[in-house]
Order: sequence, then structure tokens, then C-alpha cells
Amino acid sequence: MRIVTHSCPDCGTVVAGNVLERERVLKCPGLDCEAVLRFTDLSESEREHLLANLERYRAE
Amino acid sequence: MKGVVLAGGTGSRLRPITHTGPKQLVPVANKPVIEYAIDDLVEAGITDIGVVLGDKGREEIQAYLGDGSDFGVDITYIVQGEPLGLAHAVGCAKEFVGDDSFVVYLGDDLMREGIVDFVADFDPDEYAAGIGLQRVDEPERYGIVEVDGVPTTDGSGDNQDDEGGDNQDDEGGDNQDDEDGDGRGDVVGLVEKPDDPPSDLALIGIYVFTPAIFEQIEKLEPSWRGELEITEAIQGLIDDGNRIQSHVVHGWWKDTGKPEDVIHANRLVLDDIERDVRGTIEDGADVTGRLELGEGSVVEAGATVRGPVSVGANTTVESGTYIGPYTSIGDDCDVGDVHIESSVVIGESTIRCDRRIVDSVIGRRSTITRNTDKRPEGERLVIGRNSSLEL
Repeated sequence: MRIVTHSCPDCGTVVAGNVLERERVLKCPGLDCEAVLRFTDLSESEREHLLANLERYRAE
Repeated sequence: MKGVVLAGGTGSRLRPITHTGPKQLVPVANKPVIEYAIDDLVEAGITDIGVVLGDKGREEIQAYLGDGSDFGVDITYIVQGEPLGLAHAVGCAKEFVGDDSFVVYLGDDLMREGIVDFVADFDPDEYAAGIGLQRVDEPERYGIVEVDGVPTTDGSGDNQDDEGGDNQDDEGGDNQDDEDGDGRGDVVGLVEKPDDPPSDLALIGIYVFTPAIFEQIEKLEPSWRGELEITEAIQGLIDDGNRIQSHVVHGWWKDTGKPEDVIHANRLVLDDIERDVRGTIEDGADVTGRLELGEGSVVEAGATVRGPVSVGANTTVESGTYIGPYTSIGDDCDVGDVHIESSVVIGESTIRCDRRIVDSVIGRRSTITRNTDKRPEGERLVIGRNSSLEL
């Protein structure tokens, strides 16, 4: 299964694509980091993949 | 080499303790269990560590570990989100590990002997992965591996449930065919909770991988429980012709997933503590055996302590109290009149009652007091969901 991640450009914290898809916009969860991460930070192909496979990235 | 500590999961088996915090911060001998993993990695020379976090307890773990500098490491946080399996958690670490080999350590595991030998033995030029193993009595309960050239069982009785870590003294008994008894054959197959186990060598939650594992993880499909299984990824490495190193870990190991596991792990760790008294033992206190006593703590005259016992900082053990072997009392507690042994009191609690408390885990900010002067007579309880009491 494809695993999509995104690294915060400010602090390096890695966030899974499924989290970005779920939250859409979130404050970076890194310690003391004020960056804002967005689902749209992912590439178009990554976003399409996550949206096409939503059920596989959500725990039952 | 880098380290990846898996600190996700819901901690459902440790409720109600985990209603208010992640299982990786539950203390064993007054140290959060995840800190043992960090210490083991540091001891093995690994200081660049990724900590994979789930939705549960993420902020608490970050608040405790910080940037890692208090522990001599550099921590990168990796937010997994939903608990989609160990292989998903490992896959989320791909950017972090880059081209390095890396150790994967379950953040609620304890290993007496650490991982120095395990890491030193691994040769990434020969092997795509290495797996930490230990012999168990009931292999049908575990993930089991088949190792090339290794007998199916050795009858040594090693397993994590040995009282007091009996297997720690079983030098060289792990593998009858190995030259040095360390189980160094190649892993040729894995099976989860087999009805007909191919061996008694169980996966214990410690792995070392080369980046080749990521290609296998990408090939996985969710299992029947909706998770990406790390055992399937390792099997994929084998099926593609890669070599997988086996390494039998000596000494006890313990998963702290359930309350009885926490009590047992606490017992195993306290078996090895040294006397370390930074607080005050008043004249007239009766203290025998090994005691860790934190700064600002007091064992008052008239109190009895029978080690091994660990008491955190700023805790008072009042006159008339008996603290028996294999008990840990956390920071900022008041303990009076009670007889308590083989138990874990997490911290910030008041226990002042004429009762015997044994084999118990008492969560943070709990209050247990006497009811003898109250009317009507009876037990008065405020109990959260998933609590368990034997009255």
C-alpha cells in the first residue's frame, strides 16, 4: 500500500498523508513549530491516490 | 544507523490507566517505558531517532521527550495518525531514515540485556533485515519464525513470563545447533500465532531493517484486521531472495500492554536496582533491601520498607505504613497506614487506609482513604470506565 508522507519545511516533522487528508489544514504537530500544513502541500497524484482509497487509510 | 521507536496504538488493554495518557508513558520502576527504549538505542550508539506517534497521547509523549536533548538524542517526530499497523508506521519513517539501516523498537517493550549485540551483529551488506527473537513456551500465542538449520524447540523454557527473568542465566541454551547458541541462522519463514508452530522462536518487537523493507511495505495490502503487517513485509523480503538474520535476545523481554504486564515488568526491573537514597530516611524507620528514594521524599519513623522498592521524588511514606517488595511509588504521593506490595502507584496520589493492597496499578491523582468513621458503612467508589476492583 502506498504510504504518503509530508515533512514540515520548518521543523522536519513528518506527517502521514492520511492525517493531512483527514485534517485538511493543521498546525504542524512539531514541537514549538508554528507552520501550517495543508492537504494541498501534497502533490496532485498523492492527493488523488489518498482520495481514491479513503477507506484503506482509516482504521475501522 | 538510525532508530525508529513506535509509539502509536490505543493502549486499550491498559485501560483505565490509558484513558488519561499513552501506554508508552506508564512508568516501570518510576521510569516511563518508552525511556527504556531510548536508553537502549543510545547504549547501542544510535542517537538519531524517529518517534512514530499515533492519535492517542501524541502531545504527552512529545512533552516528555521534547527534542531528545535531555536524553542525549536528536528526535524527529513522525505522525502516523490512524493505527494502520506496524508496517504502516515503519513506512511513515521512510523519509526520516533515507538510505540508512535502522532499528525498529516497540515503545512499550522492555529488554533486560538491551540491543547492543543485536545492532552490532547486523551486517547490511549480507542481510536485508534482522529480527530479534526469543524462545517461548506457547508459540501458538506469538508470531513465530522458522530459522534455517535450527531445531524446532530446545526445551529450555525461555520466555517472557519467567518469574524474575529466569532466562537471563540461560547462557548458550537458545540454539542447540549454533556454534555460540545465539540463533544466527537465516529466517526462512514467518507465521502469526500458528496452530502448528515451526519453532518456538517468537518475534519480540525489535527489528533492524535496510531501506529494502520500504519496497515490500508498498506491496502490502491491509490484512483481515485492516492493518499493514510487518511480518508480511519481512516475508516479502524472503520471497524475493533476501537474507534475514535471526538474533536470539538473551535476558527477559516484556511487553507492557496489560496491567499485569506492568506489574510483572516492574518486578523484573526492580530486581536489578541498586540502593540510591536521595531523600530522607528518618531515625526509627525500618528499611531493609534495596531502595531507590527520590529527592525530597521521606520515609518517616515508624514506617517499614522491604526492598526492592522504588519511591519517586517528593513522596512521603508515613509512620505505620508498610511498603513491601516489588513496589514502585511515583512522585508527589502521600502513603499512610497502608500495607502495599508488588504494586505500581503512578504518582500524585494519596493512599491512607488500613488495608492491604497487592498486585495493583494505581493511576495518577488517585485517592484511597479509610472509611471506618463514615456512616452508613460500606465501600465508597468513584470508578471510571474499564476499571477493575477486587473487594
